[in-house]
Amino acid sequence: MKMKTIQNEHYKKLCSAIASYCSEEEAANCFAAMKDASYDDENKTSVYEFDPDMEVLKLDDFSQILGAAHHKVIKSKYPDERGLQQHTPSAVDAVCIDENNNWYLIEFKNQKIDSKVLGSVKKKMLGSLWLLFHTYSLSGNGMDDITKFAREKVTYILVCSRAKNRSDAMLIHQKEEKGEHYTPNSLYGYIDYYFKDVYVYTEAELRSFIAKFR
Amino acid sequence: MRFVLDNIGKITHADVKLDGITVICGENNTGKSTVGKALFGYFTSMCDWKRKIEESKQSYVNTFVFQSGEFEPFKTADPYRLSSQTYNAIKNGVKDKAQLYEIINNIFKDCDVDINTEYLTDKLYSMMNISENLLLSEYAMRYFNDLFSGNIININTKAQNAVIKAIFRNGTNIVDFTVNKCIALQEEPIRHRAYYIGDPFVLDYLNKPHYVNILSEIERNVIETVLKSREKLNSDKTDNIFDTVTNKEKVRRVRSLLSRAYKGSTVIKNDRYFYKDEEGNDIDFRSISTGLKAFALIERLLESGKLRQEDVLILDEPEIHLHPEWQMLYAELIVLLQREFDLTILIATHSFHFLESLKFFTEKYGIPERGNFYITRKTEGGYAIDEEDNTLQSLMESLSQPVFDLSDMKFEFEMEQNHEDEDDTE
Repeated sequence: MKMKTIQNEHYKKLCSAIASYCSEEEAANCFAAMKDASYDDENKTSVYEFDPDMEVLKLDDFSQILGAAHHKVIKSKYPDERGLQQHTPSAVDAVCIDENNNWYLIEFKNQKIDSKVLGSVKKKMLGSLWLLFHTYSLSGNGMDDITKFAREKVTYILVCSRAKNRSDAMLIHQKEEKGEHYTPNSLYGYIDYYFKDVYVYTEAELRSFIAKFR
Repeated sequence: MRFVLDNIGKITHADVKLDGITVICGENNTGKSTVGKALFGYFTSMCDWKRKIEESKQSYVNTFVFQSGEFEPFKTADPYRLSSQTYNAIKNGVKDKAQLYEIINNIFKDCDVDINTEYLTDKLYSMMNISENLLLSEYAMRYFNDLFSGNIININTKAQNAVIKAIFRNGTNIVDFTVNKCIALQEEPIRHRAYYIGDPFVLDYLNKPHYVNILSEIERNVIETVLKSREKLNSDKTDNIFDTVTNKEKVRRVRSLLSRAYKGSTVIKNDRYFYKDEEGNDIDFRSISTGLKAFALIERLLESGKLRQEDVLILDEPEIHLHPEWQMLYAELIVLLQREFDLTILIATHSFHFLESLKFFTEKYGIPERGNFYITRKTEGGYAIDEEDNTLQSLMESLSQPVFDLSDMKFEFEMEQNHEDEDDTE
């Protein structure tokens, strides 16, 4: 099956903002299929391995590029300082924007979703927001009120492996059947505060999401 | 305790830990219930076996006393009294056949019936020389044959025998079946009883006890237990764990939980059982809902004082007639009963929700280590149930997969429909 590419103007605007920071080759590496974005280096497998697939922004890859570029600037600014460390903002695995300018930050977890894992994703949630808005503002596309925009337009989706999260997968399935989403208790506080919505999918719900994505 | 089965029914090999709540999952027809049946058969035949054998011996003596003379009711000497005297004399010890002959002669000397003393001596002397182990083995063979309708040994393997092993801390008990023979060895006495709860409809037989014999041994067990305990209910309250002082707090907790489903109470009028509902209506047990019957069975076992500390409770798909809300409640009740009365519980289930509830409540009640989970797996000639590939995760996977399969099928179908619509538009 042919891979979907996102053609709407909102996503293209993000792509051009990204491109303004990178070489052509670097920019090309920042965009890949969801399957690649969900690749788990440790287990050498992807959380999402289905059709349809869709090209997305691999925000964590872009974060590395931006971190390295920033590090160069810092080193030239403070040439006499030794042991300077590169700062790479924590970022989610994938980002996509639909035709209604709804932004989706997608993080993959190929493990059991427990309180430790849920605690660990919080840094990435907020790091990604900062990284995206920072990139936008530097490219001259800054928003007037980024917190308002995030509350109204940005959704965070945690995608976990169904095989490793049978109980949660059943809950997710039941909620989705009712047209609702499953949000773990510890992430409710982020809804309407930092994000429009926060919820968890398995690869099966992500497949439907991609199929319907415009 | 570890319960090990080899070549029993559909099971080629099973090795399960029974030290709290043991859950077995698996597809239909994979031998889940066989383990429950074997466990029930094992405990029921081995528990209190010496008394059962004594009863058999007494009955054997009766038979031959009757056969050795022509007794007539109300006209001749009472054969039961003579039989009982003979049996007691044998129990007190007999040195040899000559002494037995002498004893029988003395008992029957003033009796007005001609007795074939030599015949009776021969028969009773042979009985005395049969070892208890041989009698136990014969008893086990008959019991299991009845329970498994003659099909104890797995017919799909080339095995010549089937074995049941109960491995305790201080010893191992073995029952080894070949086609016509059984050898039962006991190192550890069985002191606890097993109760098998399957179809809640058996409760109906409390109000039609004359038909209880049409039930199979395994179905009959609980009902007969409750029926037999009825006379004791009002006279001997000490028999009831629900009313012992030491258990008061435990009992209060179990009762309180049970009453969330079983909101009324049980009344017995004219030897019939009724459920008195919250409005005070007496409803014949046969007319209450099947879900309520499932709780009523537990209530009866407890209130009749039959289910005791450390007994064995075998539940075959108990969730089957219960709404998910009551499945959860039933799971909590089972966990609480285990914790409070240290029961050994074996459950076969097909329900993801029930399994999850059991897992949750073992954690909530602070006994997660008492949960053991197994799944059946196909082997050559049948199914195995053991530690291999057995985690709670694999059980959950097995029980939840069909839900996801259906969801995936729905997605594929939706995609196909969309493609067809797009083709039509073009």
